[in-house]
Parts: sequence; structure tokens; C-alpha cells
Amino acid sequence: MRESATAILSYGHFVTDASHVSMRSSAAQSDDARMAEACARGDSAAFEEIYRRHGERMKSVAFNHLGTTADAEDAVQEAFLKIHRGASSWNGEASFSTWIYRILINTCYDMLRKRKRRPDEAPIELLPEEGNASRPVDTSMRLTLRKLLGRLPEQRRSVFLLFEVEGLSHAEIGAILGIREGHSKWLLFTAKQELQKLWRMSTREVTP
Amino acid sequence: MTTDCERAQQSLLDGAPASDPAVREHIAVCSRCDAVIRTFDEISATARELRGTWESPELWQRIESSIRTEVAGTRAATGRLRRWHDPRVWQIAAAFVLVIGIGAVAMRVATTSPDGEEYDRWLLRESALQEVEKSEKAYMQSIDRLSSLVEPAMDDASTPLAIAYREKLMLLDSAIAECQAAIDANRQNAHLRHQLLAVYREKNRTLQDLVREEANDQQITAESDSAVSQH
Repeated sequence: MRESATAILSYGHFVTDASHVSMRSSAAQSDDARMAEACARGDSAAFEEIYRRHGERMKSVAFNHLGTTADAEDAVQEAFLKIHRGASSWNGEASFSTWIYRILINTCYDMLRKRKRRPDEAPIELLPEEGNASRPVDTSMRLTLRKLLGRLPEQRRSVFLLFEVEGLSHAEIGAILGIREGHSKWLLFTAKQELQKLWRMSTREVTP
Repeated sequence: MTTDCERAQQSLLDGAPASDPAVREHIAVCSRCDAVIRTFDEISATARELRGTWESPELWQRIESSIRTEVAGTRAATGRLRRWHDPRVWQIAAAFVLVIGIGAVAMRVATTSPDGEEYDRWLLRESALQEVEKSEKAYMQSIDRLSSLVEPAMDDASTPLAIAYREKLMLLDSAIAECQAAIDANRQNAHLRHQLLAVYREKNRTLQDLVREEANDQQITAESDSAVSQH
């Protein structure tokens, strides 16, 4: 089941609904402003709070964009530094948490561009828990999908990952990627159409 | 592709193919759409398993340390900036600039010593200037001599020619005065020196013409007097 948008991006005093950015409550806005101010000051407690609330998801988003845990951790660290550097310029148009994910994804894009290899040519790392046979989906299928995702253009890949893997709504994805909700839906549809073709081809190759 | 197939695909775009009864009926009879939707579902189910979670015990320490380093760097930079507002810093800086300035002047004097190339150039300029001044002096002496010869004639100039010469000499004197005033302000200005020499030359030539005219007049007068006495 898809988690609710609020549950995904918002925890505790971060509670905001990115699908209704303009309708965010004044309390949420002032909380975000306080958090941004603390981050700009370099307040370690504020960063720790962000890490505690968003760290796991940030790692997951970065891992699925970059393919290795080492790169994902580097991206998360770099994103935190960028949050510190840019917190004073956060203008409150989007919620602070949305802004954090936007920074993270842009950091992942930067890292991908710096790589000589295309994403689908990069080695795909298997996470320790993925070797667990009790998981509902076969490991080879997961690896196949990861490989195929590397062939998608970056924005389609991001929409697919944020919607299908991280469970964000199109409104939230739109806010993070700076696109319209309808555009996010369209990008997901085209991503899935493309994946479907590749998926069929790859499963045909695998099937004897 | 039929209209029903398009409708089924459209429902995929909206993300809920199974909720529309008409689409459900179509999928039941259309193997093509059924295959597409099954693959879509399979991809979505696999994607939900892609969420990556792993232990990173050192990641927070790394983040905290990098932020602390960055904050310390920013504070140091701000501190350095704030220090510039302290008047003592400016006094020290002024003293430093003064010392550097004196040093630079001393260095320049040392490098432009008589042994240097600069000195040679200066010497050339100075010798050229002396040559010019020598020429000026020669012209002035000549002018003085000629002036003493024509002075009585100029004092009681009554002929149109004499008046024209006198006016021309006055103009030349005024040009000489202007040039000399400008040269006093910039002794080494070669252009002014050249102009002054040209005016001197012109005055000298004018005076020579005047002396020549004066001599011709005297000769004519003498010849005329002798002719009158013979008669």
C-alpha cells in the first residue's frame, strides 16, 4: 500500500503536505523557517533531526539513483553540506523537506554527470538484505529492474523511483522536481511503457 | 488499437486500471491489454522492493564532521572580514603601505643610479636640451644685436612698411613670451622648445629683413642726396 504523502515527507514538526504547498499551515511554515534558520547557522542538532527523520529515505533515493551504497552515502553527505550552504536562501515556496529532496536528487544528477560511465553501465550493488530469499520478489527481477532503470532518462527515472519505490504522490514529485503534477503522471506512464518493452525483452532473454 | 484498448491505456496513465469496470471487462477479453497491464503491475511490484535500507553507522559522524568543518571555515572567514573593521588594522596597514612605498622609492632611486640605462637616457635628454638652449641663446644674441640696429627706426616708424614690421615683431614677442611661460612650467617639453626656436628664427629673419630694408632706405636716401648736390 502506498504511504500517504504526509507520512513520507513529514515527521513531527516537519509536517507539511507538499501537494498543497500554498495551503501549508502557518505553523508548519514557521517550523520550516526555524529549521532553515538553524541549518543556515550550522546548528548540529537541526541537522541531526533531519538525518533522523529523512536519512534512511535519502539514502534509499540516492542508492536507487546511483547504484552503490558508497556513492549514495557520499551523495547524502554532500546534500547535507548543500543544505547548510543554501538554507539561508530557502524561500519557503516549497516545504523545507521537499527542498531537501530536491537538493539530494540534484546532487545525484551531478554525481551521475561526473561519472564517465552511463548509469546502466555502472556496477549494480546488491544490498545485504536483498540476498534474503524470503522476499516476495525475486532478486534477479530486482537486479533486472535496476539495470533497466539505468537506461531511462534521468527525470523519468526519478519520477519512477519517487512514485513506485518511495511512494510519493505526483504532487510531491512535482514539487521536488519542479514540474507539474500532470507532467509527473505522464513521465511515469512513459517510463513504465519504456520499461515494459525492455522488461519483456530481458525476461525473454532470461527464459529458456 | 481499439477505443477500448486506448481507454485501458488511459487508465494506466491515471494509475488505477482495475477500478474502472469497463476497463476490467476489456482486459478480460483483450490479451494484449491484459499483458500490458500485467507487466505494468509486475514492474510496480518489483519497484516496491527496490527501497534500499542498510546500516551506515559512520554516515552521521561524517556529515556532522563535514558540517562542523564548513561552519568553522565560514566563521573564520567572517572573523577575518570583521577584523578589517578594526581601526588598528587600518593603522597597521597604512604603516605597512608607507614602509613599502619608501622601500619602492629607494629601490627606484637605486636602480636609476648613474650607472643605469635610465641614467643614459636621462643624460641624452639633458644634453639635447642643452643643445637647444645653446641655439636659443645664439638666436637671442643675434636678435639683441639686430634689435639694437633697428630700434631707432622702429621707435619712429611712420611708413606703412615700418608699421607692419613693428606689428609683426610685437606679435612674435608675444608668442615668445607665451612659449617661455609654458617652458618654465615644463622645461623638458621638446615640442614647446621647438616652437620657441621657430619663433626666434622668425624674429631673427624679420629683424634681418628690417635691417636690410633700413640699409636700402639709407642707400636710396644717400644716392638721392648726392644727386641733389650734383645738380
